[in-house]
Amino acid sequence: MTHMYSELHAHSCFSLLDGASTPESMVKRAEKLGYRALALTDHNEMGGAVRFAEAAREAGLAGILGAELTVSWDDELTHLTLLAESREGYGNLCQLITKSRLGMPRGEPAVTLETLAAHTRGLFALTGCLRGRVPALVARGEEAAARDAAAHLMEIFDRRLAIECWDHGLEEERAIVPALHRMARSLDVPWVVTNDAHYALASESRTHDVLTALRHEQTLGEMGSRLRPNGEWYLKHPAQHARRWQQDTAGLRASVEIAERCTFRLEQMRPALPDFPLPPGVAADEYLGRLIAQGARERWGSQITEAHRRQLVHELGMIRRLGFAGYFLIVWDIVRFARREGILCQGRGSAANSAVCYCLGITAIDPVAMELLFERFLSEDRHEAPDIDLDFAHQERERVIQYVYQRYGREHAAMVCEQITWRGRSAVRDAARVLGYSTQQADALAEVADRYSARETGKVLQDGQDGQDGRGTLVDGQQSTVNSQRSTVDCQPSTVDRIATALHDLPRHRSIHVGGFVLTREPLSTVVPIEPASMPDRTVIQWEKDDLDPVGLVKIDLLGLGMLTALQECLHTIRRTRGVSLDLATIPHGDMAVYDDLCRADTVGVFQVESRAQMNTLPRLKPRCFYDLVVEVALIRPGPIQGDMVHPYLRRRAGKEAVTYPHPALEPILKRTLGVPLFQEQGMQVAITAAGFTPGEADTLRRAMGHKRSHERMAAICEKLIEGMKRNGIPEATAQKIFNQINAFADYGFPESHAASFAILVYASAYLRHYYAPEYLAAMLNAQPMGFYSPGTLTEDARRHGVEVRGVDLVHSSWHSTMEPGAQGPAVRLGLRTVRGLGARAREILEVGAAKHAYATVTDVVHAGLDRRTLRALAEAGAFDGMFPGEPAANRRRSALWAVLAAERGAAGPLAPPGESPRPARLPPMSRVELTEADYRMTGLSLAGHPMSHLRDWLRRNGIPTVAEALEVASRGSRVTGHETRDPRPATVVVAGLVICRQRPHTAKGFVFVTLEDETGMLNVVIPPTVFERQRLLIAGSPLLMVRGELQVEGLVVNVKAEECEAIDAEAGRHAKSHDFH
Amino acid sequence: MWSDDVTHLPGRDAWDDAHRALSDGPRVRMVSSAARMAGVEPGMTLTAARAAVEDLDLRPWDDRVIARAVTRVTAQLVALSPQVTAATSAPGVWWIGASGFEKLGGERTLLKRLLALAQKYHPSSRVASADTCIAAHVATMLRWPSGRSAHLVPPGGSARLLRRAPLTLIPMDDELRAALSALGITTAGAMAALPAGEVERRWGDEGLRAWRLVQGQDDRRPVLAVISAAAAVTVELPDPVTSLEPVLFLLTPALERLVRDSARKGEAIAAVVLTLMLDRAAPHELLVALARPVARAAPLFDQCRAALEGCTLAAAVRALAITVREAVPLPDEQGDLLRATWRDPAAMEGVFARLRAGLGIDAVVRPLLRDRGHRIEDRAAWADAPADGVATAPPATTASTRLLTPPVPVAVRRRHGRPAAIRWEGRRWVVTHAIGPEHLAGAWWDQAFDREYWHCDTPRGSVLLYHARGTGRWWVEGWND
Repeated sequence: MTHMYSELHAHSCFSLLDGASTPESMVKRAEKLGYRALALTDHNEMGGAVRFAEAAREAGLAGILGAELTVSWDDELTHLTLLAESREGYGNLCQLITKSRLGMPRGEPAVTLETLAAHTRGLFALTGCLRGRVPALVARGEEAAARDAAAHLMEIFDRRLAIECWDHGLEEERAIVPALHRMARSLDVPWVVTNDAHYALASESRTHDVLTALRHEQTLGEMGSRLRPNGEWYLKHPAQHARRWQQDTAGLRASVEIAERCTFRLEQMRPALPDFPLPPGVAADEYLGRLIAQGARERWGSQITEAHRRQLVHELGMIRRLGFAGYFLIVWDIVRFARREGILCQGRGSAANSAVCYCLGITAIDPVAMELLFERFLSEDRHEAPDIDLDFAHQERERVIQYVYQRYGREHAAMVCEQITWRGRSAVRDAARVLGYSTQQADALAEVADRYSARETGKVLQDGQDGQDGRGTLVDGQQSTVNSQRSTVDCQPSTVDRIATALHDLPRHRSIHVGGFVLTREPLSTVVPIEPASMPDRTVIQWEKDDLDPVGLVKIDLLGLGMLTALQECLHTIRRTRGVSLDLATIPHGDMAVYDDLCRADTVGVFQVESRAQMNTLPRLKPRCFYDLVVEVALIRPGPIQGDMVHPYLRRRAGKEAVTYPHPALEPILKRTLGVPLFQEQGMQVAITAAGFTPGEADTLRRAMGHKRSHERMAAICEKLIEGMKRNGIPEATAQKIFNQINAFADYGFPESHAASFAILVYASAYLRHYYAPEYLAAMLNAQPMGFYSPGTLTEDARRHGVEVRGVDLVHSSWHSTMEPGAQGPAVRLGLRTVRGLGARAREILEVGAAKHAYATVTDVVHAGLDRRTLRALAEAGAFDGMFPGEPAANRRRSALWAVLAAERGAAGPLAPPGESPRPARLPPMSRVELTEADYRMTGLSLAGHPMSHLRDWLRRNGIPTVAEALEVASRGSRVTGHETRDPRPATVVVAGLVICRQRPHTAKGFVFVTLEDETGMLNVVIPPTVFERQRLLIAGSPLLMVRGELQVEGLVVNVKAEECEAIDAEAGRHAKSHDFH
Repeated sequence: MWSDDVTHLPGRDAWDDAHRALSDGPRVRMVSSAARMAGVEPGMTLTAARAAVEDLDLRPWDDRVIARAVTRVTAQLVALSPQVTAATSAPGVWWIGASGFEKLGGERTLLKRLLALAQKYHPSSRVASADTCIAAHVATMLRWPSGRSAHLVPPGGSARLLRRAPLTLIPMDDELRAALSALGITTAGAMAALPAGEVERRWGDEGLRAWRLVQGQDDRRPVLAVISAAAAVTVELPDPVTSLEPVLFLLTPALERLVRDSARKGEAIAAVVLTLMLDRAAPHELLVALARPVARAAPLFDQCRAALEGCTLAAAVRALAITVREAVPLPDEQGDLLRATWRDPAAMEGVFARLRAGLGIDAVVRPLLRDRGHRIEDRAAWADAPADGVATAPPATTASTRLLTPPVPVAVRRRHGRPAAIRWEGRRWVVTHAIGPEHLAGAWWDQAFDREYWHCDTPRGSVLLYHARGTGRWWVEGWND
């Protein structure tokens, strides 16, 4: 009896804000109830289809794909349930959803009856819920019209129609069911029972209420009858249906019979890539071979060896067998376009393990020279498409994206979406919102939610309520914060906890993936629905990246990288201003002056190695060659840090610890990283060498250890690995140790190839910064937002390196920062874009005006059409200074503002005398402090002096040294002891500076790292958890800090370990912005 | 009648009742001195304020408490000076007329008395006397070297005092203040030194208004607060006006208050006197006599408006007083409110007015459809009846459900899961036909319910039953007409 019913109308959470269960939990519940089949019928949506199909396949359940489509019928939006019987039907369904999305305003999908009629083949229709055309007419008492509507559907679906009936314990449903039965009999079509499920379990009706309230942007209390009247919309036991419909079981039997008609399953689909346009008579494999041969000559020339040839043959063979030649050609074509357009691009990730990619110019790393493992990139065992990630100069990436659309057509290309799920903060905020709490109350609760998932946040709040202490996820003192926030909010947090927990993992809205593109030979809209993205000229599919592999869709990642924009602009500027022609390939390698900078951690603005952690490592690692940079990039990553590999490596590097290997067999693999595994490939190679894994198996091992670990898979592969090592004579204890070591970092580390790709940019940026500092600064400022440091810190650093920087000036500045002849070489003229808060309209006007040098007087600027706020901002930023050459520098801004205020209000009348307002006699000049304050407020940087320089006299009187002096003291101490070890008698110092960075990494056990900057340099402060908890608000909020603590010196690495912090209240630093807790 | 000298008495965080009024919802509105010293500022969010002072005593802002406290202090101050005005924008600040005290010991004595009185409410109260309101205000805000809490600005000394006052003490538009700050003009003296034409050219009227203040030119004056047993209401306008609209705006609530007070005494109003207090001119009086005494504000307003529209004034209006000249007892006919044929609006109005006056403003209600959920009791409510007319009931339907509030517990015997008989107040009702169950559940975030409803026909009528699934108990919620 339990098989008497199949649910043909069920919504998952992908019916956004109208479904409360994930597809997996719907399948799990259906399996438990003994259903043979379950249909997923989300609203105009297939976003959950892959997850549903996968879960159903694993559960042995017939996973029917369908949708509840919104149909515009006589100007009324009605619902219709559609089920895919065949591949053709599935394609039609996807096309219908696509048309409903692309042809209508965003968020209001619908198709016309005519469109529906054109795409009915292979689809079975149910008349839908109470919002269906047929039941709605019956409910209105228009039975004849309802019969006509049903007859019309029967006709266009060629009798593949059933009249849908339901019972949720409501009078209005029971009132119309007899009429629906009569109609089915008179039309000779089946009537079928569904439950229109919107969640798996009855208890999830509350989550559904919350989602409904969010959809309506109301509180639960305000929703009234817009919430469902009860919680009957769950997946019910067949016995419940049997009891209800015991008078007539035809509707239950029909559910099973219709389910059996729907035989299409997602795994039957294998979309192919578009055909790459090839020369006549040439196959893709052959064409790729020709390109590779040519590329190999360009890359290696006469240096080509047998190893190169062998590798290429190996790779091409695998590509041919897997049928991916077209994919490589498509990627090559995209790279070729970028190069042709002068857009800097470079392949990243595991693609750099491929010699084919290297020869095609996709990547810049020679994998043969670096002995990189190709199987990390592509493996026959994996049955998956390769994944090539391309970085482009981020300000130019849109051109590349539009090229791909144009090249393959919007019918065959679209971007991958990203389902944004509720995280801790958003879950708590939305929970508070639907419960009617104020924004401030929601903010107070959300403060404890930072970094947690929605479920963890629920637990944290619950723990606080129960008075229990941390569960291991809370750092010291965090519990008190939870309780403190709770006391701030006069509410029932337990309800918030429950709602936040219930929202865990549910999709909240859809966004565009950072750069994933899919291409198909057949129209993409027959594979997956396409919809317009929030960005203009972009379309996205309803699947995210993890959905692609199961259906065999191939993704190409077209990513934007700010550093490439900066490098591209820097190289152009050097060519233009100095006549020096460089590119990434021709930058001189092995320049020791560049490596000297890196060894000194003089790396503000250098790609990847500018963070506090990297700067602390560089003087210890002392990079002297390119491979050292590869190691440096890979070293400061969660994997090596959590795997406790950083310090052993650095000790071995410094000769303080012997280089040993877990087993002699591993020496060739681990030798270049001094016996410490750092790269993913090393983990794989260890498995191959020590345990006899095939390259494909080794990659399976890596993936099993990845982000989404499965205990069962891990246990199985661990056993296999250890068994393999034992077979090769490695003792079990050693084998276990090796496994643990690999396991510790696995997927959290970089692939070596990726680190090498990044290391190229590290060296290039360090080189340009060293030799072309003005151009590099201008390029970095123009590429903002990017990188680790604010424009203020970049500028301060450049000025300390002798770069002349000139202020924003409407007479001289362009929109972007530019170069001018300076006293000693090129000087940087800050662009108008540096002024904060100029909107798109202001940019439009200023960009054109500045290019024409149209601004000579205040009146010119005022007449350009800028609004009052913009004019004031420009005046306060000093952009008019050039128009007041006769004034003392300290008077110019106020004179400008005075003139602007008058000019901006317009002349008194047509006969009023032209010209600027006379300057008032007594506008006070700006002090240096005021200038700095105004600079930071308006531009985020100051050429009038660092905020700390204005406090210097006071600081000196109190015996507080500059950063440079503190570093000098540290360096003297280090020289005196004669070691590069920690001074046994640490000195206590007091230092003060502008906070430019605050970090609290997960891996640091509650320690907080703060970087202080003054006019002489930067200094890192380590704040222990106890100090941070004691002075949390002060440390997290004060722009200027004074810190007393222990001076810790290790070689060239200097930190202050804080014991006490104090805020400095100074006007000049009030508007400086720190890079906080990223 | 009006004095050129004013005394300003600020007690920002002054009196006890008002002290509790610290926060307005999510933001702090006022702070005590101690909290201010600990870094709490008006305008802060509660979170930020609590972050500054962990054990901060937060009290909800209560306009009624503030108004009561202001009235109480005003009444006390009137004992010292006949001219008292509570500043509407800043609770705890009063403008007090200070001229004509020569025979009573002069301004110094007045200041002493005022200070002594104010310090009963808050030890840090300050008073100052000056030619103008702005100067008096600034004088109380400045920190005097002597630490005195009372300060007398000599006649003609306003401009001098203002010269060194920070610009933050001068009321002006935020944008103007920000622009002046950006120009480095931070004192009233610096602003006063700017040429008036240049100020006007940049900031127009708003700029000139502020410029006049920093020059010591302030037209504001305290008005007489009338404390009288007679039914009267006095309303002061923030600025003198020459148009009727703002006067009418204030007239409505004043008349409503008068009507309400009169109704409470069982009286209807037959005539009122409108007194328009003019700027530097004699007051202008208007008598408004009604053809029929009323207990509603609307007809009274129409008459007053007509009277005001017909008059021409010699000067701008500064304040408005309305006094009841003649009142008569309200009709005492009770009437049958439920009888459809009873249609005497005046009598009904009188009845409603007396009901409201005696039982409270919420005593007269009308039915209102609403949407609070699916339960029958969530679909309608009683709402305030319109104060100026007879409520119109929603159209009656053929089958209405009369609700029992609250529902009555009953015992139900079931057969095959359906109600078969009801025992209600000792009587047994046989169910001849039952429709249901209808399942309604919800409000889990507040007071959850989970019910099965049955419409049951019995020989005595049709009743609406529900079965509470959580407790298993049965209730009669109402009956069907």
